[in-house]
Amino acid sequence: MVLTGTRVVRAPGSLWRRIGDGVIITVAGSESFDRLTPTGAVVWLLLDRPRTPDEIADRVAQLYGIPVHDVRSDVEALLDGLVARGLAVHAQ
Amino acid sequence: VTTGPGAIELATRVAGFGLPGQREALSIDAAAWPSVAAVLSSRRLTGIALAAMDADQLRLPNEAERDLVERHREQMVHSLALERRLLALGEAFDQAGLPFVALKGPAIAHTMYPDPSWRPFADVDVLVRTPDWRRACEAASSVGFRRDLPEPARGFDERFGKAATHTDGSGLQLDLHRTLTLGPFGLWLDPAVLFEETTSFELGGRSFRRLNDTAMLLHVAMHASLGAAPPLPLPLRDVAQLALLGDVDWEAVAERGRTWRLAAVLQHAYAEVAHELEVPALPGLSTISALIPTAREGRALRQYMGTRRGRGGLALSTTMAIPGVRGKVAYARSLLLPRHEFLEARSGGTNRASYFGRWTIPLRWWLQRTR
Repeated sequence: MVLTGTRVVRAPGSLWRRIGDGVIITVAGSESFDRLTPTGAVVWLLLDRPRTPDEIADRVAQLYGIPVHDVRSDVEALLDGLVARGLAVHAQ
Repeated sequence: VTTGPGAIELATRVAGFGLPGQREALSIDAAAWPSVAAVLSSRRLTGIALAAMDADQLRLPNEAERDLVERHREQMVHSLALERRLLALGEAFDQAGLPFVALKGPAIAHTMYPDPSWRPFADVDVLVRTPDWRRACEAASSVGFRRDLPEPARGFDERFGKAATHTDGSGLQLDLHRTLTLGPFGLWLDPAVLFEETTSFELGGRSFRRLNDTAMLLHVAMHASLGAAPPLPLPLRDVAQLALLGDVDWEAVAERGRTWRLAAVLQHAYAEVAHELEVPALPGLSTISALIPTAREGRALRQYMGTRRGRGGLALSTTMAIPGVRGKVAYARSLLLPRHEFLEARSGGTNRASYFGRWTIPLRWWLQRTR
C-alpha cells in the first residue's frame, strides 16, 4: 500500500504509449498490458518524477476543478494498483 | 474492403500531417473510411492520423474516430510487445558481450517524432558486427527467437547476407542485420564503420545504442528508396523527420553518398518525399542534389524499382557488385544450388522443394534475350 508521504514514480522498466486520451502500459518481463482511462493517464503522466499521493491528488483536483478529498482515495487506489503490478515503484 | 488508389492517396496525405507547407484539413466520410482505415493500419499510419485528428486536421465521423483509436491501440500493443522483446534481447546480447545497434522502429519512434505513438513498427531490427554473426544468432535463440530460413549455403550470411528474420513463439519478429540493406547498396557500404557512428537512447530504463542522426538519415533514405517500389509513406516520413529534426552533418552525408555510392538512393528518397508528402525543400536538399550518381548506381537502383525486383533482378545486380570472379561464382552457386533444408523451408516444408523453380528464372531471362 502507498503511504501518504511516500513518493511514487514510474518503474524503470515500464513501457507505455498514449492512445487518444488514455495510455497503455506494460513492463519488461510481463506478458500483459494495462489500459488507463483519461484520468488514470493524467496520474501516469505525473509519475514522470517522484511524487506523493497528495501532490498527485492536488494536481488532478486542480485539473478537473473538483475538491481534493473527492479524488484522493481514487488516486491512492490507482497508485496501489500500479505499484502492485510493477508498473510504478516507491522512490528512494 | 477494397483499397483503391483513392484510399492510398488519402492515407498518403495523412502521412504528411505536421510537415512544412500549406495543408488543408482532410475530411473522410463514412463510406470512404473502411478502405482508408485499412490502408492506415497496413501502412502503420494510425499514430499520425490520430495526431492529425486531435489537431482537427483530419475530420472523421464519430464511428470512424472510435475505429481509428481501436486500430491504433492494436498497433501500439504490438509496438510495446516488440519493445519488451528488445529489452530481453538487449540483456542476452549484453551477457554474451555482443555490441549491437538498435535500428529503425524504436530508435526512430523515441528520438525523431513528437511522440513515439506517432511511429508504430512491425518488427525489431538490430545490427550486429559481421564477426559476431553466429554468436548473435545464438543469443537471439536463447531468448526464444527462431530463425525463419536457414542460410542457403555455409558462410553465405557473413559474406553476402543482409539480415535474417527470426520469429518468437508469439509471432513477434526480429530482423538481425549484418548490413543495412539487400543487394549492391548493402555490399558497397562498410557496416563496421556504422558501429563508430552511434549515439544512445533510453528505453524501458536502459540505454541502447542507435545510429547517430547522420547515419540514421542514410539508413532511412536507403529503406525508403530500396525497401519497396513504389516507396511507402512511413519510410518517406522517416526521411522527412530525420532531415527536419535530426542533427545531421550534411558534409558527412555527401561524403558517404560518394564513398558508399548512395547518391542515386538519396536523391530518389528526397524526390519521393517532395512528390508524395509534398515537402519540396527538405534541409540538405542542396547537398544531396549536388551529388553526381554514377551510371552503375543508377543501374543498381533501377533493379530495386523495376518489375524484375522480385524475379531475380536484385540477385543479378548483387552478383555484379560482388568483387572478383570467385565471389560472384560463390554467390550464384549459393542461389542456384542452395542447401536442401533451405529449399524445404522456402517451400513451407512441402514436397515441392526442388531446384527447378530457381533455375527457371535465369532460363526465362536467357530465352527473353535470345528472342
